[in-house]
Amino acid sequence: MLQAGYRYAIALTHHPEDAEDLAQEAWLNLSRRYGCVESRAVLFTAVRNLFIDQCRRRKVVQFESLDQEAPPELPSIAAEEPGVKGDLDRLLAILRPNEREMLFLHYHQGHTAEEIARMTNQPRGTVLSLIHRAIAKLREAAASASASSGRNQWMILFVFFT
Amino acid sequence: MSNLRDQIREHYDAKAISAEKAEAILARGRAAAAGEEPLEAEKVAAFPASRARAWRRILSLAAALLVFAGLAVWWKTPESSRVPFATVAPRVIEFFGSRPELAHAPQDKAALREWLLAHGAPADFHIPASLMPLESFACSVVDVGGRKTYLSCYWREKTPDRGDHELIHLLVGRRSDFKDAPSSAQPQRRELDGWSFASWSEGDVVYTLATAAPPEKLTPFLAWAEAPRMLAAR
Repeated sequence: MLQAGYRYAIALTHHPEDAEDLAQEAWLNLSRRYGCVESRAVLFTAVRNLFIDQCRRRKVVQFESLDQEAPPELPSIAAEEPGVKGDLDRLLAILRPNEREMLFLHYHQGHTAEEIARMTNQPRGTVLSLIHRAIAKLREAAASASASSGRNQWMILFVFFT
Repeated sequence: MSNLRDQIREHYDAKAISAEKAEAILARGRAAAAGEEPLEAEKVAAFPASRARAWRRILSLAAALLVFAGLAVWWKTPESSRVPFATVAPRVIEFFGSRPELAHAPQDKAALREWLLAHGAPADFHIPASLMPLESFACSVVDVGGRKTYLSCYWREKTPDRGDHELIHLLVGRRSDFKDAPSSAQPQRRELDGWSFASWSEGDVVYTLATAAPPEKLTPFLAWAEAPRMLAAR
């Protein structure tokens, strides 16, 4: 369960050391307070709250509300969403923490949009919007990286032959 | 290329805390649950807390020292240790009401003065000239609110069946021992419980004449001081 908490923390922070500290602190807080870590959901909530506290203290990340932007009805997420080309770690780095969180909870933990909405205390539309936006950003970044990589290859060939 | 779900699963599954680190966290969690958390685990919270405690201790110690120093200064200030001069008259009445044992006073006024000086009377005090012809009766040291005053008693009258009411008493003290003591040589009169008092100062010596009789009985002995006033009144 600790490893699951760590992976969730990685999804939020995208930084291994920060994630380790976050998971450890959440685990110890729960142990101190309740004597044990009851469930994965409890651990995830503790990790998330701790992360939000840290962000507020550091004021480095803002969780922007999507309530206003969310369209009235979003299509469900495709069960078999095609993969993205390129280094996923680098691509995930460009996403906001809450976008990575949605991808993690949906694709890694297998939660539905409704479940995520309940877990994170957000409207379902916001969750769907975040997931769609995260996927779109990933694809855009992957395409951009691919084009850049292609240009670089042609540049190397050009330099090599001249 | 696999689908996005597989990619993300693969990506996050590859992330894990090392076994040693995970075991250490779990052990600390167990210790925390049992309330036996090692100090290191509370380092983040304990450090500022202990600093705050240390500062609180330093500040409270400084405040206590300040209060103590203030009290010491107040205690050492002459003003705080001085006795109200108004307590002299009641103390004289009380003293004679207690039938005190008095020392026999020598008739030689110089010897009487020597006796009083030997018992601590101010060096520059003198027996007023108006008392010099009187017959000495007794002398003593009287405590007034912790301050020593020096008493000598004389007979006002020379009648054979004279009693205590015919006595006149001279009380001498240091002006610096009393608050609100007369600051001039002009006698200040006071009456209390059938007694009459007149007090004045000369330098650091405060004098009080007292008698258990109406105030006019004191007047002949204060003529040296009151004559100029009477002349001015005319």
